[in-house]
Amino acid sequence: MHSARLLVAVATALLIGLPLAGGSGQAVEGSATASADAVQDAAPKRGFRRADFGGSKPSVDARHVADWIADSGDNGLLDFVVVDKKFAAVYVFGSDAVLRASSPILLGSALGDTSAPDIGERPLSQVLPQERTTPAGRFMGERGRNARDEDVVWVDYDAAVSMHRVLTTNAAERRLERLATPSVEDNRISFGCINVPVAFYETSIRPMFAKTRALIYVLPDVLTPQQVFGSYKVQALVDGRLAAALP
Amino acid sequence: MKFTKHLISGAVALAVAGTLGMAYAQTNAPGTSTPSAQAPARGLDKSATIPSQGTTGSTGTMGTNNSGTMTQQGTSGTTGTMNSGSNATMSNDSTTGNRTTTGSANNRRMNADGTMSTELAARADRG
Repeated sequence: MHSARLLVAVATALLIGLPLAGGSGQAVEGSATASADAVQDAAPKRGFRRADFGGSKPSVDARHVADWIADSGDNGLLDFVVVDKKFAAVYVFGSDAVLRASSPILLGSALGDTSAPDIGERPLSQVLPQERTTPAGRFMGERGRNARDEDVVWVDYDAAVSMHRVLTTNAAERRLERLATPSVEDNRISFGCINVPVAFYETSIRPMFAKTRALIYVLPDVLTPQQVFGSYKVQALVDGRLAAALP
Repeated sequence: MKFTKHLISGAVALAVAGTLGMAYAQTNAPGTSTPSAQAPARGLDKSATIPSQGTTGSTGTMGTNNSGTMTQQGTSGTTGTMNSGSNATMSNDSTTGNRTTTGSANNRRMNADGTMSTELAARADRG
């Protein structure tokens, strides 16, 4: 009897400890020692938080990461943005993990989750096609200006990746049309920057970063969200399936 | 009688020597004060961590990317450098151990009056 109670207590403590791990993954690994029975007893006692997408229907990965942010509190007190590269979409959340707005986006033309070394220091003419990636990861976004003197939100300053109003300077690229089509295959056109519709930038992005910074989570193309963020599956925890929740 | 006198004199001499020795040892004991180095202020930091705080003045470097770390930052007047295209240097505050930015760029733009803006310097992006 005592051992059963202990097991439940341990499992509860581990579950409560998951958010404190902050995505490090290390604390999460240890929780695999708890038995499934104990987890089922313990799980309902902990209040899980999930992101509120309202009427939007995000991809599995976007839902997974947003839920993890909401449950773990990884964003602290900051608003945050989730960029879903695979589905060429951006989701803007308040610090309470309630969706404020979403939009289609344009991305780097190459698949990949990292940036080539020194790519931020090279002119665009020296960036190879396979290097035109939008890097995945957790970034502290903040406003700034680019060399065209446009206000932008810097995603990865060192790698010269920003989020800005859609560029229309090269008509041959048909960026506005690419944004308008329902397909996501044609949304890969930039050298790495994230292009959003002008109206969306003015109403949702610019105000968000006007006075403070916010976190930007760029989901991966090749890696898994768990590999990039050390995230866990909140839905699996809600269901009491701890093993399935682990990265 | 003489023997007793010598014995007493010897004991007194020993006692005096011992007392003086103890007093000397106490006044020359190592101090208990330690350097009160504090974690440096991280105003420009994105998520940098500072794992160790040295007291011997070694030089550290600090990245300005998302995972930059500072190692072995001394507290006795040495300076660390910030890399990733930045020219800023970090110096010690002699009283608190906090660092102050003394460099010129540090990826932040300069205001017209020569002061450092909180905004990132303009640069080319990847469209």
